[in-house]
Amino acid sequence: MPTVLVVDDDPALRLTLRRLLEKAGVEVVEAEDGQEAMRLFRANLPDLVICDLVMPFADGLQTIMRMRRSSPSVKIIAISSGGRSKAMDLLAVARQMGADHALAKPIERSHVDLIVDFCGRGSGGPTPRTL
Amino acid sequence: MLRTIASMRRLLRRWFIGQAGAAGSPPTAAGRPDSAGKPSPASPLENAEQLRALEQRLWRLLMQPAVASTGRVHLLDLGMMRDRLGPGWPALRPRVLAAADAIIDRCLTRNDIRFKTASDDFILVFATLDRHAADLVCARIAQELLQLFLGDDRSADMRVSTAVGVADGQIQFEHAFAKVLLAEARPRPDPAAVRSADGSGAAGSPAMSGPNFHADDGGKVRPVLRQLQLSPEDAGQFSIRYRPVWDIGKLVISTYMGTPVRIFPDGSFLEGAAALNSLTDPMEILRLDADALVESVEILNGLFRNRSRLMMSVPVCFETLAARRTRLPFLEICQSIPDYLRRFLIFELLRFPPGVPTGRLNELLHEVRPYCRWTFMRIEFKSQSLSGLSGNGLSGITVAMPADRSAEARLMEEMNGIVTAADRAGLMICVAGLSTTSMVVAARASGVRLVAGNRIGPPQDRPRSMTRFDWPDLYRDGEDG
Repeated sequence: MPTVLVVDDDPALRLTLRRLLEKAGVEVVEAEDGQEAMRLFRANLPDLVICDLVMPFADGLQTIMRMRRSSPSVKIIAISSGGRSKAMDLLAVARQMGADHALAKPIERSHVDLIVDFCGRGSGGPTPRTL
Repeated sequence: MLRTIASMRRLLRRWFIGQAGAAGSPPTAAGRPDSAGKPSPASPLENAEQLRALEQRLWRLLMQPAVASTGRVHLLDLGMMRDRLGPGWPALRPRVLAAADAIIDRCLTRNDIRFKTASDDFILVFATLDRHAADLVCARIAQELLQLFLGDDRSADMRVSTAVGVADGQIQFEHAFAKVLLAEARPRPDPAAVRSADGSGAAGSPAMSGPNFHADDGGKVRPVLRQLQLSPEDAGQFSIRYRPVWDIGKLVISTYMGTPVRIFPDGSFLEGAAALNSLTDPMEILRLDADALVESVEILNGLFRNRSRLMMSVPVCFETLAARRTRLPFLEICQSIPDYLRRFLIFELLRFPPGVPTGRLNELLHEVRPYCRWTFMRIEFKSQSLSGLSGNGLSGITVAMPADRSAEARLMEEMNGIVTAADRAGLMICVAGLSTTSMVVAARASGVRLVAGNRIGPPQDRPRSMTRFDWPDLYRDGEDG
């Protein structure tokens, strides 16, 4: 069973993703900030990391950069609402910093399908529709 | 009459000695019995009681008919100013009272007495001035306060009340408006002006040397303690430094924000408004603002001649622009800024009271706008409506993020609120004080384009040329978590 590490400071979003992904047969590990994420990342070696960008204490860009340095092969999807003013360049920056893909919040059902698909196929598979 | 005042002073002195013994510590400042004085070892409640008692006893002293009828006891009533400032009063109160303190200090001689009442008015007892001269000094104080906080608002005024006697156990006052008193006095020499011009008291009053009467002719009313005397260097030297500002949209450091600093001998320093907290003298503040402006323009000119293009922001304090005597010298310097440099200049307004009326703000902005490209105002980091700042020529606001790592989540929320308010008001926003990458990311996600702080770069003695600064640069020098 593939393992996904969900990193987001919003507990409601983590819960939603957990429910949807577990239904799809994926094991979910949750972290509420970048520091906890790094600890769980080393402990669980997940197949995929879904990482929010705006978080206190250790932001998503930094977390992605550290994870990529620690494991060049891990698949990482950055997620962000882009904020109220839609400063969407952050998602582009996330890709520049090592994320494989970037998704804009809110997370929709179709996004979950893509996540599961991406998780199962590996990096050689078809690229899901992303921002 | 002199004997009457002398007798009152003796009574006051006796009272102070008693009060010092009772409270376990000397009064806050001799000659300045202040109802908001330093805490004594007693509990706040006991303190408040003691201060109330103090006020009552002072009133009783003043209530002696021989004192109250001399025309030397005056009440400076801030009520109209409170009404005028309306909901802005609570936020402005400390600034108004501090300014009133400073102005009164300047206008009273060492033999005069003053105290602040529990209702935030001021009682002034003049040692030597006759009623007319004392009225004028009070009117001048009122005028200066009004000018400082309400500008040239002609409908604003302040009431000066003069004690004329005692009836039914109450001091009887005669009231007059400051503007009327000054208008009536115009053909006559102004005692306040005479005092401040030659440093000696009008009408034979003793030389001015500050507000203290603890060291008056009659002896000391409290122990004279050894005072800490530091050289200006040891007490912290004022200067200006320049913070790089990152334009996240263009990925470039294109602006350097001039920020006042107070540098201590160990190399530590206070920055921004905190550096200026101890300053109350408008002339001293003007001097710092003028130095900052001249230095910044000289640097800007040097860069320009070397074909470097850079925006620079220069701090200007409210006190400098608020009063004519400080504003005019500052604007004279502004007029000497070459046109070709003005488009690279930003004025950042510091220490502006939160409740400053829109008309007043508009008037002050109008004065400096011709000499710069943008005007920013430094405001407190908290969610607030900024509608009062829009539509009067202000280009943007600067907020300094509090350095509280443990509160990042809350600060992010508050930042969102501030950015939303700035957006609604059509103002640009620059967030300073960012010391972690997470806050920079959060600022960008909120829609902020201009950021500054230790994470972007430390303050420097001189700005550098415009440089490219990309996201990896943000993470280059260590990862702060």
